[in-house]
Amino acid sequence: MGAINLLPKRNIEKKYGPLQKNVYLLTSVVLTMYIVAASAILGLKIYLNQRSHNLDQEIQKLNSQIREQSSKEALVLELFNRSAKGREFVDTRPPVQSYSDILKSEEVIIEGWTYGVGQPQTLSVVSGSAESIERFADVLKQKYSSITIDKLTHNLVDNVWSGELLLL
Amino acid sequence: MNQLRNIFLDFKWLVYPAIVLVFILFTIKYLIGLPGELISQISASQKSVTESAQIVSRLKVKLNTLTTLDENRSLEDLSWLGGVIPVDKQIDVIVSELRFSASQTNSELLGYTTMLGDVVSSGSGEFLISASFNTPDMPSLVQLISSLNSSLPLMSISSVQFVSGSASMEINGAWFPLVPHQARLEDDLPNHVQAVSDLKARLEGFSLVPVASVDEAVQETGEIIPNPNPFTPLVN
Repeated sequence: MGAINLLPKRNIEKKYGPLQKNVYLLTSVVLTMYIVAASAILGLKIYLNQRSHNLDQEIQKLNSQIREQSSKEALVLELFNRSAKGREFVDTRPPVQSYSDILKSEEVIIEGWTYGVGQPQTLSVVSGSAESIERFADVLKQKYSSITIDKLTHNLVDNVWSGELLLL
Repeated sequence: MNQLRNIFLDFKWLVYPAIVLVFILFTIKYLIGLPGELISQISASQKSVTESAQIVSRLKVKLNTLTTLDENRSLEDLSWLGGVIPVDKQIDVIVSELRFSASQTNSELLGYTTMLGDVVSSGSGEFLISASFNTPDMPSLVQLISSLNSSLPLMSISSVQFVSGSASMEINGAWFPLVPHQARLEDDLPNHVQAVSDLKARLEGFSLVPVASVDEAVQETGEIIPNPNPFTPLVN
């Protein structure tokens, strides 16, 4: 004779029946979703690893092909660097020509000129009249921010005016 | 004992969710990873793949540029650039330029002094020549300056002193030695075609000193040896 279960089986099923069903259902849903998500994540990880491996191999292959062309690469770099140096040299050289181009006049004769990078320039001019020297100084205003007529001399014997100009 | 068995039988429906829970926790810990780590792992992998794909794309472009490079044209350009900025301090050429320009502008080169600077290190830059000219007037001086400024190899004039009939100038000659390039394989190639054409456009109208007037030594031997590529030593 076995032991007698005084609590009827029906009562347990009654008590936990709906909860049991819901837990089963919920667990199955969670498990399914988890498996789907985990598969997707694992698939993505495997794909990324494989892609990374393939790309690394391709990089190595391309690098070795480029290494074979190293003389051409050196040629290209030399052309670029030398061109850049040339360009830099031309663009940064002192603008002496732009000054010399304006130092032209039919009214005055320029007898002396000193030019130095970042230094004031001096100009010695001679002319038949003081006005022509002043007119020339007016022309120079296009290029120079400051023009000082340092000395103006009139030689009465030859009737020649000479001027010393300081240009900034 | 029977009581325990009964309890187990009563709650055996909880075994399924418990196993699922253990399975999920186990796989998360040992197979997939915690969500935070997972996100950072995947984003790091994605970043690495994107970077590698960009490198591949750049390398393909670089390889294509190198394989389709017109070597003849490039060597011609290099030869021209060697005339624009010599690979060493070519005093003879600069002096010939001074003499040639002077002769074209009613002037005369009277003398020159060179300051070569450091002759040991393989630096680059400029070397200084102080030159004196016999120049009749200011218009001739202006022409001389203009001629020197549009001559090749490149030079710059840093000072001028003109006193009726004579002029002295400080002239810097440009040079740039051949240097080994330290480019990394994955570095992009610079656009040399654009750089060279830009410089050519910038130097349009500039002229190289005629070879025949370059060197009196050449005139003495009576033989002019053209050197199309200044980067290749002449072999007698």
